[in-house]
Amino acid sequence: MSTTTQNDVNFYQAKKGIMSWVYTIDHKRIGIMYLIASSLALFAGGAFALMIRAQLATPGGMLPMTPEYKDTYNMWFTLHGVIMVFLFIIPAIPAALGNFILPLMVGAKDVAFPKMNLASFYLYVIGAAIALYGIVGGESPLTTGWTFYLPYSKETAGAVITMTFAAFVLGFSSIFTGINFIVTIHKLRAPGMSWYKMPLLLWALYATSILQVLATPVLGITLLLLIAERTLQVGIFDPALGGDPVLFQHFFWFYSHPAVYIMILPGMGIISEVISCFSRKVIFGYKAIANSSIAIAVISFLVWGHHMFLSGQSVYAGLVFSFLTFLVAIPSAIKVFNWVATLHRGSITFETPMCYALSFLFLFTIGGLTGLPLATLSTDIVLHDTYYVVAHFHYVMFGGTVIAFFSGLHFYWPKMVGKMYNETVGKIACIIVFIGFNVTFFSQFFLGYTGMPRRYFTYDSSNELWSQMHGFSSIGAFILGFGVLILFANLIASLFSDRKAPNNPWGATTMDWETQSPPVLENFSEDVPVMKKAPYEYE
Amino acid sequence: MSDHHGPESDHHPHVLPMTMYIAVGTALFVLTALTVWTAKFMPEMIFHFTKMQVTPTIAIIIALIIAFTKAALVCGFFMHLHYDKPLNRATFLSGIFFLSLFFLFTLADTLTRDDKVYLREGMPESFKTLTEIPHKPHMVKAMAGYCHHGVKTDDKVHPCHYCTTGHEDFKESDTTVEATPEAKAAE
Amino acid sequence: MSSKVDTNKFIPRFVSHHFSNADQEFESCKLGMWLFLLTEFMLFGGIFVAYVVFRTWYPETFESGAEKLDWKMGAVNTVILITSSVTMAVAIREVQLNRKGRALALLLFTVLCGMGFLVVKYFEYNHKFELGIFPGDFFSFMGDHMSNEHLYFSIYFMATATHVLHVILGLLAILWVSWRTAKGEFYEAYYTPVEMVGLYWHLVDLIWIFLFPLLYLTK
Repeated sequence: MSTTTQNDVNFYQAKKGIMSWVYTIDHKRIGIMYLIASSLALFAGGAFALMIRAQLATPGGMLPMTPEYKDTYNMWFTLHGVIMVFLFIIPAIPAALGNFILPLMVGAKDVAFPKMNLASFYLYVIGAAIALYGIVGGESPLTTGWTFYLPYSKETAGAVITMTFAAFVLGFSSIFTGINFIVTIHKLRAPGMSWYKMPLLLWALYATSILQVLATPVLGITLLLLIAERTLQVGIFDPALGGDPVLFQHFFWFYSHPAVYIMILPGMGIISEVISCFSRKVIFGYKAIANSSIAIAVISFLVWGHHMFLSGQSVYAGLVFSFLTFLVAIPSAIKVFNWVATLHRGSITFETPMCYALSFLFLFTIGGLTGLPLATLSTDIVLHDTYYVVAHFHYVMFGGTVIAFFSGLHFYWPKMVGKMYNETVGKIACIIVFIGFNVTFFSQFFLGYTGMPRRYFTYDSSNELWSQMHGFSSIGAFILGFGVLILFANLIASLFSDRKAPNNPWGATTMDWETQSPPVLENFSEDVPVMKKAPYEYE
Repeated sequence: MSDHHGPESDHHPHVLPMTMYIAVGTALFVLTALTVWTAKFMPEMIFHFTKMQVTPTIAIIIALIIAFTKAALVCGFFMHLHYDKPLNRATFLSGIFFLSLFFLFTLADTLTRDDKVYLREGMPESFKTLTEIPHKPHMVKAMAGYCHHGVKTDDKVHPCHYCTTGHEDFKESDTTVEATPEAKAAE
Repeated sequence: MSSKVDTNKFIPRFVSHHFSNADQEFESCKLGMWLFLLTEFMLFGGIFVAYVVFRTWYPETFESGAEKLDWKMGAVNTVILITSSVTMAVAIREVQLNRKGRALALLLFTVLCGMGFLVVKYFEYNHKFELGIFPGDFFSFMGDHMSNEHLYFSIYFMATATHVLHVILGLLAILWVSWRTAKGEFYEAYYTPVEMVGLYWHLVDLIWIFLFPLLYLTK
């Protein structure tokens, strides 16, 4: 098996032809396919975001204010949410980067169930196809928002069933990835890699997978009940039939709150890797970061009610949920403090992944701190469903997860494709993204604080602050979009350059960098790779 | 994918004795009979001897205790968790843990909803009726031409099974049961 | 160990390329299966949460609804499912002991039990539909009932229909392993699919163990 000829052939060249991709069970190829698919989803969701911002740039908007356009804007923000959440941000880091890196990091030849991994990808594609049919298949536009709240989602004529079924299928895809990762980490670690010698990205992916396995089925039954509600009129969530619409929100957020940690945890893992690598320092508080990942996973199941403070939920439950929500700030803050402590007196170099990681630290901290007023019952009454909430979760979701995804993408790009991208262009893109992001979303804090409600397609033109801030936000959105385009253009251009990547361009210490770039077919040239040194042992 | 590990001769099954399967199977049948008996026959017996009612709450607690025992037998022995790696056991227990969180926090809301809070603190009577009505289901009597069991009274092809076999009409028996304590109180 | 196995009767099997030995492969599959069962618990958990919420709100409705179900049919189905669980468990034992014929017979008997369950369920559903007992808004029962009894039957139909779906999937899976058992693919050193399908079938039994008392016996 491990002959010398095999060593030189990377996994792209080992098998040729389109069918070798269609039937592949190689985790690296599946990871690459996931990366392409979820990047396309990012562009689709981003296009809707830019349309939203274009509409809101002026109070008059670009849509005519006639009844036939009344649902168009609602459809835009719904599809922006659905595409970004279900098609991009949940699969982006675990299924795309995680699929590629996780087996390399544990020193395995593949994930535990390679065929299930491929099934997961095809379910993702089928789910995306169903969602696409829901958008362009001639049904009336979906205007429920990505949360599908009842009773509106029962009464509306939109493509609710198509979209919920798509989300149901995508949920299965997510579960399969989760099961695969948990079993791989438990059973296929290289000899010498004990739990507390695992790189922190593995801890983060492990915690993510636990959430995927435990929470996603509840989304499944929720969406099934919603479909039954629309077709069979079961009435469990319908107040007109004696049911309870707030119960739907309990079901929905039992999944969707852990889901926001499915989104952020792998991002945190990538940041741990990148910050330690570019500070040339052992990560500070390894065990604290590792355990806080698990703590976040567990606590995330106890806080879902903070989405429902004003939904008619009992005030007693609100009190409990508010208190527990503050708890989740503790493990998140532990991570941030440890990253900052890692930077302290490190030999920091500012390569592109590190630039994104430092942006992450800055933006995630803002996102986290602005969450606290929303967790407090009394202030949430004022801020609920305003642009403040929009700004807060974009600081966590974009400023946190997506920036971490970009960081990871630049970090692992040489390993994935075997080429180095242009470092200068990468840094410029990072700065443009950072500026564009802050202009877009920081202005929204002011909008929300002064009472601008979310999901409205126009606003009071006499309010000068709102006009200014919406204008800023829209300009920022286009700067941000431009930055992301440069980022991807730079990465794609690297494919055609002749800057071959060395095996370990960043001098990182985890096992994934010991193999070739790009890796050989079964990842390592030796039959059973052994972990030789602990992660983050920099001289 | 070439294979280079040789035939799978290094996995040895852990064969369990046949007596275990028979014992657990028997226990499951006995517990099924027990749960039916406790739900359907025991209340009448207890009422006959002690004149005490088994409330639905007690009945459901008994039913759940038996169901959990049966589930534990199936998981522990048929699904081999009793003999299995601690990891698989932990996986199963984590399911119970997170499900109970789901139950606990959802009920923390639904059992303490605002209307009940306001009622307890002595809201005006008009509020009371406003909040009570949608939560209070009422009895709907059988439509004209139908028996209590929902079958057409003139249907000769498919007559009501309960009515023709002289099965005691359940609504009437209910009212007589309810009348007894009231009558006692009146006395 | 392998000397005991008649090599003409069984097809020897090789470990997948990314596992280092058969034990690792078996344990990985088992952990994966348990994680999958975990997702099933959570899925049914949602229905049980809805049950508990509405039961605590409308106890009389649930008692009145449970009276309309035939507990004898439910009890028969419980006995059928437990029997099938026993035969499934013993079938795995027979495979572990290299007794192909007995294992196959037990697996097919399990399928028979599962079909019996479906037949009983068909008659139950049919009877309900004849009386106009449908979920939710389609509830058109003419006899005595509570004003919101359609909710009880919504939960009844959602829970049992989801369970029936699992029974059907389980039966297909058992037929698949029966076919492979008949071909002689399973023996003491390799019986992972039978074990996994067995776990799945016990889950189906497990769910019914809770559905039966909660739906049929709560009065």
